[in-house]
Amino acid sequence: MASVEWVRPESVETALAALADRVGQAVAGGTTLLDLLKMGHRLPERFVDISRLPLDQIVETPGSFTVGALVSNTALANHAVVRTAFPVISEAILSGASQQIRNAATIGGNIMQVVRCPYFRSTDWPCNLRSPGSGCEAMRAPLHSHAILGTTADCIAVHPSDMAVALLALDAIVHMRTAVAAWMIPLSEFYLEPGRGGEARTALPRDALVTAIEIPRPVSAIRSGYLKLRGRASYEFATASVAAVLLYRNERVEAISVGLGGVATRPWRRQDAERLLVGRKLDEGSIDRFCDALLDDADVRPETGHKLALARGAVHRILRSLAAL
Amino acid sequence: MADALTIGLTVNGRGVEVEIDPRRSLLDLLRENLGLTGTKKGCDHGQCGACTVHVDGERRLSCLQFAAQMGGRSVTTIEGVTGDNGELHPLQKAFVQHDALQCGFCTPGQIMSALALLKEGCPTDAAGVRELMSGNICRCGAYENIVKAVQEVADGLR
Amino acid sequence: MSQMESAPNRVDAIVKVSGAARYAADAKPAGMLFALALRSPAARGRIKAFRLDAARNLPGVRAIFTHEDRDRLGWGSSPEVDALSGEVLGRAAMADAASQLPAYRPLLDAEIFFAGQWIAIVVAEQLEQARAALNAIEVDIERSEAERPDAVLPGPFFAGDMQHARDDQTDAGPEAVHMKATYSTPPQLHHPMEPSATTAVWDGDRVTLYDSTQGTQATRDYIARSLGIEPDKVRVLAPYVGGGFGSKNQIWPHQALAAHMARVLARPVRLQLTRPDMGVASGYRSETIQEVELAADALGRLKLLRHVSTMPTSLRGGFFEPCGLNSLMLYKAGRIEVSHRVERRAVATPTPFRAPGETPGSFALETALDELAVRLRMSPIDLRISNHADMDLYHQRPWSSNNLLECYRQGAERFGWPAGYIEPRSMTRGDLRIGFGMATTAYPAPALPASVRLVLRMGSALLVETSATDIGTGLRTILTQTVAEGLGIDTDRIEVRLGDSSLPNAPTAGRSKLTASVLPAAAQACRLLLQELECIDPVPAGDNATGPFERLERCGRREIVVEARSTGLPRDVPLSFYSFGAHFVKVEIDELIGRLRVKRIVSALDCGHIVNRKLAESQIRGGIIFGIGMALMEDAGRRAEDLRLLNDNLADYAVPVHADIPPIEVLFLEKPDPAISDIGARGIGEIGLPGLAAAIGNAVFNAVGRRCRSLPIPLATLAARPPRVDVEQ
Repeated sequence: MASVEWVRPESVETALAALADRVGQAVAGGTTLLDLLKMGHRLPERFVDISRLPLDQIVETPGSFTVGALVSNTALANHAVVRTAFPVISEAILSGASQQIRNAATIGGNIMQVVRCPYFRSTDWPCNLRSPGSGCEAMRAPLHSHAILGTTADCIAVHPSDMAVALLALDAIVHMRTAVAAWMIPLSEFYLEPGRGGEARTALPRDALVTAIEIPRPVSAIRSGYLKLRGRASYEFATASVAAVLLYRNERVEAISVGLGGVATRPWRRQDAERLLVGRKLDEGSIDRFCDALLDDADVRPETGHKLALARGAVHRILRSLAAL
Repeated sequence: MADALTIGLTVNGRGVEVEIDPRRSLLDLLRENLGLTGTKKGCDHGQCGACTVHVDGERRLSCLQFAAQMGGRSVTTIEGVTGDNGELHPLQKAFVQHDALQCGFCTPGQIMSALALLKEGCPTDAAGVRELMSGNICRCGAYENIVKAVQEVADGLR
Repeated sequence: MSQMESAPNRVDAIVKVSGAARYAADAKPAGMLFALALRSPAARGRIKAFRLDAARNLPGVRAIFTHEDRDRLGWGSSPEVDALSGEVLGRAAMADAASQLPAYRPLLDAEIFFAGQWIAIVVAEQLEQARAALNAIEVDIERSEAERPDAVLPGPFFAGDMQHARDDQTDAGPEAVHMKATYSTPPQLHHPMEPSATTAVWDGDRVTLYDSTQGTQATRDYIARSLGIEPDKVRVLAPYVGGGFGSKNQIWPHQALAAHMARVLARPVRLQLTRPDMGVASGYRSETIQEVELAADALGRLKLLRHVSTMPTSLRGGFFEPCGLNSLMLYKAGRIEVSHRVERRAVATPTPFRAPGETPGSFALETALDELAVRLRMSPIDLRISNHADMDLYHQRPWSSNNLLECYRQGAERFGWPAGYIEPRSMTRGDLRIGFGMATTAYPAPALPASVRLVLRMGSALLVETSATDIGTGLRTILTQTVAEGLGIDTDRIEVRLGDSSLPNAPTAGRSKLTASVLPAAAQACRLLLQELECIDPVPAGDNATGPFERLERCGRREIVVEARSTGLPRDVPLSFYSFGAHFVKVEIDELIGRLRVKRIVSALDCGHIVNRKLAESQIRGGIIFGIGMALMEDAGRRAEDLRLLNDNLADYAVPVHADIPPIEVLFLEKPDPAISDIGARGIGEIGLPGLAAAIGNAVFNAVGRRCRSLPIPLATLAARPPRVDVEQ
């Protein structure tokens, strides 16, 4: 197939109708799709241009902050409420890509972004994500950028989103719709273990759209932040990153959540590890024990071992900083 | 051409109607369909910033924009920055004065990016400017002078 | 030398900031077709079969060329054609059996020499159609084991012995310290912002190439020979080139391929390399492994400097990094041994890349000197001063001028470098460790004969014409300045035309020689023009006010044309022409998260007279930023399994971005070279780069006690818990 059909639905309903036969591909900002198309990835028969649908609203209530899937990365990062109530989201978004890309990329597109593994991107290699069942070259010849957490026999590619890590740490909820149904699930259930859903890496069915991300409002005293480690100072994916949300009062952790990026096949969080810190004082020892639990199922190769030390260092640094230690 | 789409958009203030391949990028529309070669193809995969243009006033990478999604949009390229009488924009003048270029290939993208930054609200510190310009790579290394040029114009606007 | 405006703006800045400068891929002759290449996934093997029907039948596809089409293309191989190609540079030095075999050319036959080799080219009406066809090509390759022949010991290369040993008289006393260490640098890609492109358009039996090249006449000659036609039937135009750094210095087969395809298809063809093509089709800097052994007395005076370098080249090529060049002559030592070993491997042919040889070589040498200084608990500056060579002991000639000691002094003073030995891990700022590091840089200052023509014509700007290219160096501007000064006219009455093979001969831009080659020719042309004017319009004594345009009008001539040719380096005086400098670097390291930031760089340089300080600073900064990339992030390593390059794009191969750049202060000594020419200017395009990576690595050691012997410096190296100082062997 040498070409592709474009449809431009005027409403969410017509867009969902155009996706109902599972042949069409929704296109919002288009940055991921055009990039992969030029890499020689298979074209869908139909592009459904959703970029002008009315899914770009931000709705605030006392209990939650709901962002339409078509809100741009830039708009969300710069939103006054986000900067004050959820700085981890602003920091995560602004640390990612470049302003040009953040302007074009949508929230829905960001959480749906695909891995950067060269074996996936280039069609020269076997790749279970690009071509289910064909194999995984990264298993044979891993690179420094491959994952140490969430790896399966199917895939060890890192999920590259910064924003998704911040959203995970904030217990975000994903709203989805098809032509006949609407539902929501926690972001923690949105990402699937590689291989679990065939080639699907998310719980979004082929005939559905993400319509919004809802973020429960945290307690106002809570502090949050994002720390991203990488080889050059900007415009690069994370070697390791941490999104932390912390309520530390009277030298005790009252609430904590920590998401890891750059090191896992999906945004990573271990609530069992977080519970170890609740009620505790934060110091080098307690943070070390937390890291031990957070990283305990790390699957490390010689090429990727550096990510352990960097992830640990980043967790220490950001928790100390948020706790003003 | 089979499967061609016709889209209408505004480029540098003029309405145009173009027949394009549905797979075409905005960059190739500008360069190949409209002959506006000031916007450069440095990598074609959104990794260098040389193709930066404004879409509805926002800076975007034209190599990662489907032309098919540009219907009804307003695009500004480097050719639209110089005045009709050849008058340079203050930022272009500052680039010249500060030698904010060497080979010149990344320059249109740097200027389009910086013009948008000035509208977004330019940080007052050099580190902030550098961070928000980091999507534009310059292999010749004119970085410092680019930042000086941007800061001079930003200071002038404040 | 009269006073002139020392730093006028770049004369082509306005056209560049307006987007009006036209580069090779901006030309679009009517009927033009687009060409894209398919790269081999296998490093070694033979193509057994292509299946092209699916691709050929796609809309808009006009041709798919493979080696099976070589006759149709008139594409062949001969020593005469090879001789002008970047594929043969260095073969004379290698002088092995492989150097006698035909050089690599894509699409010659079924043999595959490296992963990434071009094996097919699609030509289509539109880019999307070419891309789709490329993806539809199927090819069967019979892979074979990539051979690993024994190393070759090459002969002289880049005007230096590659196997050299000598003893010199020094004041060094008994040996107090002896060290040996191995250093490694990774492969690096030039990645100029403009991917190479050639647009070929025929008109009868003549062809014009809009090309991105550093040398228009070298390109013309190669393409003419390849096509089997006279050079005067080929015209290469490169008025604007988006950077080269060496990747466009040699002539590559694809530049000729565009002309062959356009000829057989009878339509113009644009062949623009994709970013991944740039990693395999226009050369790169190869990896190196270098062993440096130093012995010194208690005062740091060298008794031994031994530098052994091993690097690869391709199976049929010849270029290798001459790492030992600075070790031959930069310092004084009792005994100097420099040797090189080259291993042929199934890889693409490397090529010169900004300061080839001196760049990786300086990393090893300047790091080793720092290790020596640490062992002696001595200032690294004092160590270098103790071993300063006050003449070129390799060539046995005095320097034309060497103010390196002044570079150390001025640079250290501007930087605020403390006297004495600075203990590692002794400086902090909050949680951050601070370190200082320095290194020497040195680079030859060649000059070759070059021609410049001046056309003084009524009603026109003063034309300055030469075939040379301005790849961002500012040659257009300094030529304008030279002629303005030489004729006493305003710069805005001058128009420089360059980058055109039909213009008077100038050498290729490379090895920092264009300024010293072209400017003297321009100055001489000015003198000839004034002499000519004097003949036909003698000026009464005391009349200095009448300019050349007025005199032309007065004497009734329409036009005067003169051409002058410079002579290259003065041959009658045995002098050694080099430029020198010193880099001083401050780093800050957050060990907890392995974050390194270069905070400040001061570089003091002795490059002779500086024609335009603003442009010269830009060149030096550019070289320094290449050094930052080399030290911290650039790595084009191939997979060991199959020698394939994965980092073939600008995301996976990191080059410095805005946020990586610290304040960089450039100090020029500006002492004119008394012998190189009346202008006294030496080339400056490359000298900013050597030594910079070592200075950063040395600063890292000073900050955290971790010695960096291999590049790039990995993040995790710095995340050290518990902190410790590397034990020196």
